[in-house]
Amino acid sequence: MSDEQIMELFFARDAQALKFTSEQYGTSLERLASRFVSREDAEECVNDTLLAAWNAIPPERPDYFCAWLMKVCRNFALGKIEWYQAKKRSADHVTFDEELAQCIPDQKASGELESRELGRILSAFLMEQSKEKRILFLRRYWYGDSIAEVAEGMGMTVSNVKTILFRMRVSLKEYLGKEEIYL
Amino acid sequence: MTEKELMEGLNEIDDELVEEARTYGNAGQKKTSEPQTLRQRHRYGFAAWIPGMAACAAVAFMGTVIYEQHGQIEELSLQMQSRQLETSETTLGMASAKSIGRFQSADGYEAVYALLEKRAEMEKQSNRVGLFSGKSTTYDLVMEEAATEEAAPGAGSDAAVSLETDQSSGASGFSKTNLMTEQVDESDIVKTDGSYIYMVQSGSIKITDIREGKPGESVTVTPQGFEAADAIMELYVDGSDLLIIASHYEADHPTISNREFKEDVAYRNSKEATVCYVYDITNPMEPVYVNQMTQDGSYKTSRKVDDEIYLFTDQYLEYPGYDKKTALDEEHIAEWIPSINGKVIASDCIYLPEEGYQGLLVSSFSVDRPDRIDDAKYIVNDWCEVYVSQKHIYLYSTDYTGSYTVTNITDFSFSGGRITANTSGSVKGEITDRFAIHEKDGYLRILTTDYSGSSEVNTLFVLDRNLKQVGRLDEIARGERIYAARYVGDLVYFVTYRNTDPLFAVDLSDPTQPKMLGELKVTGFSEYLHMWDENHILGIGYETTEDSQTVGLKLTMFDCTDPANLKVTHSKVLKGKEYSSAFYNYKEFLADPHKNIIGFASLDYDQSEDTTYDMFTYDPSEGFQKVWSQELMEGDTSSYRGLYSGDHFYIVGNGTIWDKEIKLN
Repeated sequence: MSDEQIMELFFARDAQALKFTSEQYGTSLERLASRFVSREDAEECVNDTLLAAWNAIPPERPDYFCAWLMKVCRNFALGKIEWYQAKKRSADHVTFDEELAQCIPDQKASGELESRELGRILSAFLMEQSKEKRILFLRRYWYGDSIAEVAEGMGMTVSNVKTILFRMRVSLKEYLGKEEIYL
Repeated sequence: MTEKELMEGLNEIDDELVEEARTYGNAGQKKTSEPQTLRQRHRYGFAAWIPGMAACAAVAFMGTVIYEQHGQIEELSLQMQSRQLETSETTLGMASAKSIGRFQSADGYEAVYALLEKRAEMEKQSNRVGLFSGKSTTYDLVMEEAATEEAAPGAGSDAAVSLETDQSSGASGFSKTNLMTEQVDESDIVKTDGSYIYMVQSGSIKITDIREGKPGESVTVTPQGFEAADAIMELYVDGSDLLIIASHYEADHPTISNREFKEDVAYRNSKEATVCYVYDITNPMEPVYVNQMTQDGSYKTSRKVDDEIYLFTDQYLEYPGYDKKTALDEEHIAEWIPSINGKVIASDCIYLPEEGYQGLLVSSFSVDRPDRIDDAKYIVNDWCEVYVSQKHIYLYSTDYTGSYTVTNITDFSFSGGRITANTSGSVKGEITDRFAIHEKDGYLRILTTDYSGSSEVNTLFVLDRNLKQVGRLDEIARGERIYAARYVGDLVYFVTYRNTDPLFAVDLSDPTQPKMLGELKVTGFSEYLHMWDENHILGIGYETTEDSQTVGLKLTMFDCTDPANLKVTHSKVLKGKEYSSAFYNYKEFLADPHKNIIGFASLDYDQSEDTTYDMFTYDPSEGFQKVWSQELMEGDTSSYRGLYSGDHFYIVGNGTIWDKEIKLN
């Protein structure tokens, strides 16, 4: 079933929309959420995502339905992360924490930039990159793939992936600095 | 800006970018949607229920305006909520394939009950005492067979350690447990992190400070709630976490003893479980209890991949002794369906053959959060061995019931805690060495020995991801059996024996056409092979006379620079030494080519005082040199481990630590 057909079911308030959404994208959503949180929490994230879809569509009609679901699911997952209390999170779930921290110009300040504005800046940064680098970056830091998975998926060596990601992190830090994101 | 804010900012990037990376996929050109066969009702289970229920669930959770708009689904909403509560609150496991070869996932607990009822009926008809009641039972026969397998040389536990594995920790300068698969950690009775030694010691863990290069201050940890019948099996040290694996035994389990007994069918009234305790060892001298988990069944083995633990227990299914309706009642279900942390395994994560009751329960959890189970599977797979590669779990068992022996193999894959059932298959013959099975690049390579003909014969099989044969090499060393095997890249080296020790080298670079490269015959035989460096294989086993009488243990260094022209560079016979339990448990070996150290315990049956742990170095010109021999207090060599931190070497076991400084080149 196509996304358009699923969307029509949502708009018709036909509950089969959830069935087909789950069949079509459930595993991807669960896999994404489990990169950040435990399996038990991941399942909740997926259920919450389906529920959110039911409540949001209509009136919303996402252009990229799966990407929209992924974002919602990722948001639920991030909401479950005990960012400041966690003694140690699983390496499988958020191993890239330390890597991401390298992109931040100033880690002391916080809360002064809207997520949406930061999202716009990050989108602009990514659009300046080659498609390959852009995908590589997002597979790692958005979808939470391991370095090895990224390498396998992109047909590159682990070493190459690490090198490219390192350079992109440095580049992003500079970019955020130029944008005067000293937050 | 914080990591959290950056992560949230990332979530606000353009949908188009997210879509681009998604459709490009995790494997470059992967699909954009998912297989239609996925059905994970007990997880994001909307899809599994009748369509109306899905919407009802949404309504029930949110209580939004949808509720009023869809009044006709109000009643279903309650049902859905109830079913959701039941499944998410009381069951574990994430569904994967419904059919994996000869196994089918249970279509509800009714299917499990039917299997057990069928068996109970067979028991009654054959007028047997029962499955678990003592003498002359099928259960006993199975266990005796298992015991025999364990005792027999090479029956799934002897011989070589992976050539791929590196026991040294490189720059950190301390030894690690000898592993079967690189990057797949294994628990053991002794571990070190270079600063402390952690040792299992009769019901507790002894932690000893070795930062000064010798045993210093020590503390003892006894798990909370530990009972007299409990025993600590093994442990992991993972950063600031100490994971203790213990067996738990309840002689008179209350839920079982309450049950009604049926005529002619007997039941256990005891319960075995495996308990994992986690302690925070940020300060190892003051361990702090964190949490624990309990899994049904006796401890079999475990693995740690990154921070994720995979725990395997043997757990047989038992006829519940209730009528079907009562047995399936929520109050009684945990009495006969395997459970973890009080939750039973979801029925679609239970894999059943046409008949059987002996099963394997596997769970996954983060090393610091055993109270939160990531996934679980239970398979009624007979008594089996476990081989874990970097991405797959292979269960294999020997079936002797047919006209010839068959090894049955079942494949699960794992990633980040998710355990997926894949398929099953079989090959002729039996695996006589734990290292005779190995996966590389999606191909499973298996060496078997077939005893069913007039004389033993060995075969090398190459199977694809579906466990279908793509290549084989027949008629290897007729009249001999495989003692030790070692896969190195596209080569496999293995040892057979009758009265000489042929070391074979086979080229596997073309999976469809394995090719014998070379063969070397020397006296004696190796029980264990370890890749010393890229051109040398260390063999440890026995020296024998021409009439096959053993004269002592032997170390042999094989030169495999040219696999077609194998040579022996040096050998050393340890006269008088008759046995080492390390031949049957590779974790007992210390074999570290980077540190240039080889260590293991051995004994002489006739002279109990001659039980020693010996350490050797290897010099390419002078051969093997003994650098330390420590007499041990007890004849059980399996309790001792050799390890090092820097130039300080330790022999550890049964609560004692001997130390010695050895400067090695």
